[in-house]
Amino acid sequence: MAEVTLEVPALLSDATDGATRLSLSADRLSTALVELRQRWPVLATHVLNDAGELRPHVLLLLNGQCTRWLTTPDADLSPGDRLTILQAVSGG
Amino acid sequence: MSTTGLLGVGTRKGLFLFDRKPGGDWAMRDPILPEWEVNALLLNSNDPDHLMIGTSHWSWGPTIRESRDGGKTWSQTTLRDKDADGKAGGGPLKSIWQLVRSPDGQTLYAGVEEAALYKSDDGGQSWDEVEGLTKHESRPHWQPGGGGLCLHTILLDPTDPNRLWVGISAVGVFGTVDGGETWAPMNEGLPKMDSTGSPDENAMFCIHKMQLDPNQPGKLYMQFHAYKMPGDDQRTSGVFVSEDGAQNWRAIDNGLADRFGFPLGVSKKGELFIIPLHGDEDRTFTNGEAAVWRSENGGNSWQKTVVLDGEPVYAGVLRDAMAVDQSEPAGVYFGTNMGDLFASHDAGRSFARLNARLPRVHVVRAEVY
Repeated sequence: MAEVTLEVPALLSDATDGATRLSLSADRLSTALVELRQRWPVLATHVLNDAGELRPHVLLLLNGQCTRWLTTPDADLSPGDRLTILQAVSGG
Repeated sequence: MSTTGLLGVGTRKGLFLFDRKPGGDWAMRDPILPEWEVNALLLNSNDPDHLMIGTSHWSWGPTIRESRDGGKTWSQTTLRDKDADGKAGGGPLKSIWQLVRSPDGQTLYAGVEEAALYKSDDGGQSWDEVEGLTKHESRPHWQPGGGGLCLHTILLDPTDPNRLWVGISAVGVFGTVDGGETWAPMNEGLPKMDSTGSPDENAMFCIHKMQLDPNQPGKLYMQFHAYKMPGDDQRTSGVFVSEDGAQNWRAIDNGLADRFGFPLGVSKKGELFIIPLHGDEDRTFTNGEAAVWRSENGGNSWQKTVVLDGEPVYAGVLRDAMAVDQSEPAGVYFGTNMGDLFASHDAGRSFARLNARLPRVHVVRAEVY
């Protein structure tokens, strides 16, 4: 298991007791999402839709790269990796 | 905060609270949660600092929020937990439309889109879907109204905790007498609406709002989606009453300028308040005249109060954007989809515009303390 950082928008910090930087242990992206759901279920509601997928206007970045475009969707995680939850640009 | 009355306004962009000070002036607090849509609001008649709201966001989805300090801090709950795969049961959860507390304060109900009813017996910490409703045999034929397939009205019989009614657009009324185990459609006397697209004669009624008469258990009032089919000369009736617990409905809209509208309010004395809009095509005040209509005799006759005399207003009022408080004479409040907010302190005989122009008003609630 790798210790990784999860960055959360301030707008959602009332789902994480005020924290905008969280730590979690996971070896892959999919297991990071499992831990997110288990430890912060309200945050998971904001990030994932009813089917368990990222909401349409939500991005998950791995070390600054959008996970939607990774060549390996369920990428391995390394110690010190940084996951960032981000609202996609949703203007006109 | 010192207040003799609290007016809560949920909008497209946040919650706004107004305090009524001794002397009668309203003072607006700073905007609360302006990044979030507030679609449902529940005040506590015993505690002006206790607020519950249904919030949503185009990116982040819906949750229920609660504050015990007048909106300074909030906690969140979800209506349903995700399973090990991250999937939630039930239909898609798009919005929280209604929050209601039982008369004894022990039970909370939430109405949501897509239409479902949730119940909490622990003050909103956890919720269970009332599955008897969504497993009704008519469910496959439920069709959405303009606001979506929403369960927007929850009425609790103050004399019987097992008896409640819900309203779903564009489906109709369902009632239960066994605490939600079984439900029956209760639309007798309402115009059937083939235009809902539903093939089910038990599920083709676009009701907009219902209220209970506070003095007569089992007496309900309804604002209905009065409509006109191609080739019809007249719109259907739009305001109805039932005096037998929603078993039968009859129209009470003689003399109204228009029969279409969304909100309906009832005062402690039983006065009715509606806001007719011009048909289901444009849904704005008739001839641009902002007006509230009042009945003091259960809908046998109606009196109009023009709210902004001489100023054309081509706005509408959404189904939860009117509130009637427990004062005598009643306070009546409403907000428009253009963000104007009006208050009456003489049971709807005159209105004044509050000094604020807000985002689109979704829900208005009022309490006196």
